[in-house]
Amino acid sequence: MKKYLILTLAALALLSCRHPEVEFVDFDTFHVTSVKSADVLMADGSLNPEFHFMEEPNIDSGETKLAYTDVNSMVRDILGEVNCNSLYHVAGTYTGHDVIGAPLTLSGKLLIPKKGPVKNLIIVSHYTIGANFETPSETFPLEGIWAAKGYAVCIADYIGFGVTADRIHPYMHTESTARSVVDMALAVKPYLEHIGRKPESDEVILAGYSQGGATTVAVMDMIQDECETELPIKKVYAGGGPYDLAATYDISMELDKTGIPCAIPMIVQGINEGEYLGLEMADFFKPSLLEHYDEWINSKKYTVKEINRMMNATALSQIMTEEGRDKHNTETARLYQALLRNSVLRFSPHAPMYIFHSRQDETVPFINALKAEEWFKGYDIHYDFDNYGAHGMGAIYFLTKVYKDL
Amino acid sequence: MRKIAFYACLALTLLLAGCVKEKIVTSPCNFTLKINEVKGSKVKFTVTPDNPDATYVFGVMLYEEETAGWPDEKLIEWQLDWMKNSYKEYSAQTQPCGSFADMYCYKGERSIKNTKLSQGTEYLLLLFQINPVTMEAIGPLYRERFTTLPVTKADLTFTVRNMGDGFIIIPDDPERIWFWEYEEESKITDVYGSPFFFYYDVIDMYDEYDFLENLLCRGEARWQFSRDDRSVRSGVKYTMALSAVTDGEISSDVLYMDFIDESGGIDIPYADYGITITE
Repeated sequence: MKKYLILTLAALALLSCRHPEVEFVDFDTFHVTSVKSADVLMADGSLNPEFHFMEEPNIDSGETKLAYTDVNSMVRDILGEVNCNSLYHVAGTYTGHDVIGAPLTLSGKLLIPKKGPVKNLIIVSHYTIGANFETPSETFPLEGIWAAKGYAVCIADYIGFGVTADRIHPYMHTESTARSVVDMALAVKPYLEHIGRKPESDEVILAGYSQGGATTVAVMDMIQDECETELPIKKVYAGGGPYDLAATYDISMELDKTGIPCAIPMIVQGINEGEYLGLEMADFFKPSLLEHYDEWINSKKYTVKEINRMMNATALSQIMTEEGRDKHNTETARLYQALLRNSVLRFSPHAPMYIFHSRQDETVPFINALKAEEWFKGYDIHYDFDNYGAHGMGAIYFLTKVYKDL
Repeated sequence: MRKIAFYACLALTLLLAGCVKEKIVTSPCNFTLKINEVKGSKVKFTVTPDNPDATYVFGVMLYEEETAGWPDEKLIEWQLDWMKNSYKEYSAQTQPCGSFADMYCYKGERSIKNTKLSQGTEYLLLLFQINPVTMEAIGPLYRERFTTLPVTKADLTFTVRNMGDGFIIIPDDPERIWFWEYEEESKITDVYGSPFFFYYDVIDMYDEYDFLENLLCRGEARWQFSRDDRSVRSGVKYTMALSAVTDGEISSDVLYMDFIDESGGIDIPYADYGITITE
C-alpha cells in the first residue's frame, strides 16, 4: 500500500505541469521563428486532439498482463507526461542533403532537460511512421523519454517528412536517411552551445528502434567514416532493426507473409528513389496496391496502422507480382542488389554497441539480429535476444532498457 | 486517481523489465551438430541444442599429425585458451560492453558458416557447452572431421578500358566466368583488413544469398558510374578486384587496380601486372 502511494505521488509530480512550450528555430542561424504552447490533456483528462504523439509501435494489448485497460494509450500517455513536464522542446530546420547529395532544408526535433547540465547528445533515428502529423518535429517522440535523464535528444524527420513532406521518403535508403540524421546532429551541436546548453561530454550516443535501429547502425558507420572527430561515439543502442534487407526479403518471400504490409511499397519505392533505379512499380505491385500506393504512402495522411488496414493483406502473393517475388527476375534483381547495398552491417564498429531484438518479432524478423551477430561477433557488443513479445512490445522493452542503461 | 496509479504501475513494470536476468545453464545438455555443406574454402553447419538457453562455443582447427591424437580435454583447452586470452587482452584495454559470452559464445539453434579455409585440406570442427561466467567447459566435446574441396586455378588477365565515366573490362579468355567488385580503399583496410579478404567476403556474401550467379560475367563488362553507381565519391581512392570464379570460389589469382574519380575523369594510379589499362 505504501509502495502504491509513493508511486501515485510520483505520478502526480509528473503531472504537475502540463504546458509544454515548443520553440521553432532555424538551427543554422539560431533564429527563433515562433513559440507555441499547448495543453497535453484537456480538463476532463482526455488527450488534447490538437496535440499529437508519434503513433506508438503496434502493441497488442493481449500481450501484456496489464491489459484490462488500453496499454497503447497508457504507454503513450506516460511517456508523453515524462516528456512534457521536464523538457524543453525545440522543433527546427537545418541544412541537410537530398538523395543525390544536393543541399536541402530538413526538419527535426530537439529535446533538452529544462534544468541541470546536459550529459551527452543522443542522436535518435526514429521508427517507421506514415503520416506527416506523426513526424518528430510535430510530435512528442517516444524516444524523447531518454532526455528526461539529463540528455539532449535530437531526432531528424528524414527526407519526406516535416518540411519536406511533399517529397517521397527514401525508406530504408541507408545513405540519405543516415545523412539526414548526421546533418541534424552537426547542426544541433553549435545550437546547443549557442543557447548555453553544451553537453558536458563531446561524445554522442546513437539510438533507434526498428527502421531507426537499422538507421542508427548506418549512422554509426557514416560518422566513423566522415566525422568521428566532430561526433565521437560513446555508445550505440540499436533495437529491432532490419539491418539486412536482403535476408528480410528472402525470409518474407519464403514464408509469403509480412508483419508490416505497408513496408513493402515503402521499401520498393524508397530504395528505387534513393538508388535512382528507375524501376516501374507495376513490375512489383499487383493492381490492388498499384492503384492506391501513391495515395496511401505518399499523401502522408495515414499512419502505418491505417495503411496496413487499407492494404488488408499480409501475404506477399496478395500484393506483389510473381516477378517482384523472384529475385532472379531482371528488374527484381536490380532491386535485390540495391537491398544488399543498403544493408547496414558491413563495417567495423569502433564503439560499444547494444543490440536488442525479440525472438518473437514477426514485423522485423529475428534473422536480422542473427545476421548482425554473425557479422559483428568478436566486437564489443552486448546482444540482448530474448522473448520480448512482438515488435511493438519489443519497442517498449527497448525504450526502457536503454532508459535504465543511460 | 486510479488512472494515475496505473501509469505509475506501468512505469514500474517497464523499468523492472530492464532487470530480467540472463538465464545461465550450468548442467550439460545435448547438441546435434550437422555439417551441411563443404566447399573449397568454407564449411556450413547447424547446431541444435536441446536447451535453448545453453551457451556453447565452436572452433575449426587444422586436422594434422600433431593434433590428430589430442584427447578431447586438450582440444577444449586449446579452444578455450585463445578465447580467454583474447578477451583478457581486450578487457585490459577497455571496460567491455560485451561479455565473454557476447563476444565468443552462442545460444539457441544456429546455422553457422566458417570461411577462409584452405582448399583440399582436412579440418576438425569442435563444439562444446560452456559456463559463460566461469568460462569453463560443461559436458562432452562434439567433433566432426571434414575436408575442403580442391579448387582448380588457372590464370586470367584483363584489359580495362578507361572511359572517363566508367570502364569496359575485357577478360583475355571470353569463355571464363569472372567477377569484379570495388570498394573505398580506407573501408577495405578498416573492415576487411586486406583487399583479398574484401573480395573474398563479397563473393561469399553474394553466394550466401544465392545471388552470385546474377552478378558473374562472361566476356566483357561495361560500367558507367553516372548510370550504375552514383555513390562513388570524387577524390576518394577505390580498389577494384577481379578474378575468375568457379562454383562460388575464386579460381584464378585475384588482380587489383586502384582508381580515383577526379573532376576530369578517372585516374588509375595503380594496376597489377595482369591488368592492361587502355584509353
